Amino acid sequence: MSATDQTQGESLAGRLAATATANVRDKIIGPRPVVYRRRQREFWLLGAVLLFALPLLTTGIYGLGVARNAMLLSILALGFYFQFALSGQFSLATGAFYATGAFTSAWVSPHGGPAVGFVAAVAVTALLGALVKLLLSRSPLIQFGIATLSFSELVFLVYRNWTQFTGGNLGRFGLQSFKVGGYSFNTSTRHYMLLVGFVLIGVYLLILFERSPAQRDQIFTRDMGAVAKTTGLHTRRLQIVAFALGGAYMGAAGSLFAHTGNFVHPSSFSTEISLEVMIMVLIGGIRSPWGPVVGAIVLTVLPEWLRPIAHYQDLVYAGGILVVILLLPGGIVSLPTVVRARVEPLLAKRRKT
Amino acid sequence: MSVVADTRPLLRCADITVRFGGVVAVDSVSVDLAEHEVLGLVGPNGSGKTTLLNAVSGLVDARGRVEVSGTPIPLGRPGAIVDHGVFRTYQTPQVDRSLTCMENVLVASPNAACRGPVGAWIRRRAMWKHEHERWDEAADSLRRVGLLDRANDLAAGLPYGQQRHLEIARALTARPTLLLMDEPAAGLSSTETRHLIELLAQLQDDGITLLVIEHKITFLEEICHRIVVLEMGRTIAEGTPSEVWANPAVMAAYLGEAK
Amino acid sequence: MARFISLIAAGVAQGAIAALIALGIVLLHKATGIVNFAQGDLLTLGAYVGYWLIVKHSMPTLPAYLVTLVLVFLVGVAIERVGYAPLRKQPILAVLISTFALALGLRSLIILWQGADDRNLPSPFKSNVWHVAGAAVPYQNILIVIATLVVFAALSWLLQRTAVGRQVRALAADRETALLQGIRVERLSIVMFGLSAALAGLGGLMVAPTLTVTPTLGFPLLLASFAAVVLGGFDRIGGTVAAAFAIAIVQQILGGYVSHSYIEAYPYIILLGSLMIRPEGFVRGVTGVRY
Repeated sequence: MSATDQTQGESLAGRLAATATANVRDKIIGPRPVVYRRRQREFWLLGAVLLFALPLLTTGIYGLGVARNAMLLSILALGFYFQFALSGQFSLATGAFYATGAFTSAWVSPHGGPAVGFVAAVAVTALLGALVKLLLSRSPLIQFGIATLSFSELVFLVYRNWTQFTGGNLGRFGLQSFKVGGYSFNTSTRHYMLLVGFVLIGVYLLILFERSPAQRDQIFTRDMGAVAKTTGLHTRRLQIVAFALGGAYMGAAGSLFAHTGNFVHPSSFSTEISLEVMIMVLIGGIRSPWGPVVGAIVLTVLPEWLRPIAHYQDLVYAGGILVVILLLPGGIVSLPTVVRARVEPLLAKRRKT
Repeated sequence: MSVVADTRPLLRCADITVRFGGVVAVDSVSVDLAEHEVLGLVGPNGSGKTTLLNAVSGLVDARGRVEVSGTPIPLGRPGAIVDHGVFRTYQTPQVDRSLTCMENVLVASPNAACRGPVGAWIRRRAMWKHEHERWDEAADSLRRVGLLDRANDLAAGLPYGQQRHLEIARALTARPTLLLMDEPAAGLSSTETRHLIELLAQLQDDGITLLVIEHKITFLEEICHRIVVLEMGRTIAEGTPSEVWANPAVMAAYLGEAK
Repeated sequence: MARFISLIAAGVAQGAIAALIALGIVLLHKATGIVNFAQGDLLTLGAYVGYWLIVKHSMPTLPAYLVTLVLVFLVGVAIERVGYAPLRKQPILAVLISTFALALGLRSLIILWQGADDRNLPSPFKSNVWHVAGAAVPYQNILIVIATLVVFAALSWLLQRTAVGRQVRALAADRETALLQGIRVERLSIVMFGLSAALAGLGGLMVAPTLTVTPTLGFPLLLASFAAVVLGGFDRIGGTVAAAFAIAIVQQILGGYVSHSYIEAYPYIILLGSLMIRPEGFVRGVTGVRY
């Protein structure tokens, strides 16, 4: 983080000084894009507090299992956010990247520890994502989606049979937990704290990305297609980068899955996960880095509350997606904004009369 | 306005042919553009003007040859001609409605330093430095088209005419040597058209070569050195504005007499 | 030799089902530009409704088939009204996702209606087989192929010789211009959604006797048909049908002689390879561009 980021300083005097500098700078340099003026630090802190408090809502007979799931799915969803929300790429291969990260980490970690496994998982899935997108870069939207679906099924098929890498029918067990110095993340609580930490890092990276030129380049490419190429943007490169970054997040989630559960098996991964993650990002909100996290939490916790009507669960999801698409395109995260936009004119009218 | 002669045309299009299925939209059209020239491209609707532009900027598959300053450009590849400083605007303004005017213009900045995840996550200080430079450029382009005060408004809120100006600002930020414009004056009032003419004159003074598709005759007469007339995908006339308007074939094309 | 014949026969039957689904997808894509991801579940629905009418209510075969097709047609229309028409102004991605949502909803409604256990829809030919060159080819498979060929002929006639077909082809070639020419897109969309759904339903009726009827019957078949659709370039129905047969036969041959544990992989490999080499498919179509 640079010094200029910190000019939105801590003390009031610091803030006033910063505003004065900013005004002068505006005149000299020119208008500052809106995104660069948004205060995201407060939201991030709020989010951190809420995430640490989440277990209070969900500890039941499954202990921290639900909360752990929610965090893993959050990271997957954040990766999907890169691919889908920022660069408009429709991928159903989330589960395949998740699995790849998990098995890579499981395979590498005996030779250097889970940290090395984590790095390997992220590197492998990023490269895999880049490769897949590179090879399919000429495919239009729908075809690409179908291709990722096929790729994913292929990967699962291979992993089910490739015993050396994945352990086949037995899976891999006895995986080590993460360690920092002498401190080992080997209890449920510590697993959860570790995962929350990674979710927060994941969100923070997206916030930094939003406050940089990378975001608008991606969005313009997403929306304008071939026209973007005529403005000088390297759209193919941008799309590959976004897809690879998303893959990297998913690989990270896989590694975290492996070393907080200490066991991986091919049956833990399927196309269902890809669909779930897509639904989470849609319902949570595609216009904010918090959307995927909110969506993941809501859709992990909801089934627990919906247990009495478990049969209708999928119907509720289907209905939820349709509601979001038709009425609330920005997802749950956009609810405060939408409500405010609706309520404010009414309040203004009240004040007048 | 004087035309600076050059040995080699800035843009050479030779025998450009574009087919859509069985329909021939552009039929063996050849156009040369000298440096610092302003060329007008006219013709009735459906004569292939926009398609020709799309072919040159690589958005449609085409046969023939396109050269910029003697260097051949591969056809059918949208990004190819951009590397040679050729940028364009569109008949329907292509702006991203979910981005602000400033952001719409910034994407075209030739300054590519620290613009990816490395700049966002690792080299943030350098990223800020380059961002300030890019903001300067973009603000300047916006000022030239008169949109500086709307820099941080979403492009979605702009009226049609201003969206066109936004496109021009975006093309300007890219520092073009040649600017292709598709009906830049469509839907503008007479005052706005006047502003546009002044802007294009300024661009010409800056050394930018222009190729303009337009219908408005007064507009063309004021800024163009030469005009090429298309009809049904073929060139039917070429010359100075007065020569072209005096050509009976051109009149016939516009009045729709059968050939 | 007998093995070869039965592999070919299995491939042809499998290809016919894939072709039926693929025809529905391509027809809809030509008319509306989108892919209905609920197509697989519409096939499942066809199988379940057929089961319900024939097994549970002892309706004679032919009327049951007709009633099923009509019902699935109507469900297709419902999907158009809920998941497509309200989203006309939104980008294609929104429609794709809503079809996903509707697929999910359809699947859960089927489970609520009939439960998730396996069901069995017997063939109208019971288990009779035709013995040829030492191989035993079930009559059901022959019915499947005949049905597919009839449908293909009917669709070709529809597209080439009727006004509706001309409109669909116009929309597929250059949507914007076609819209400007005043094609009644609303009505056409409703019919096309219904028709492509009915095709999936027919596929369900045809394939159910050869497999067990479960709520997830349709999805893997949908995936397999995608390979044919992609190879055929989303455009020419003749190419799509040929691709469907080719892929299924190749799959059966390779699965029989090369490697059986990876037999499901072949359509995926073909699909991915096709998109890498020629994303626009191997069948030449007509496309326009508009900026």
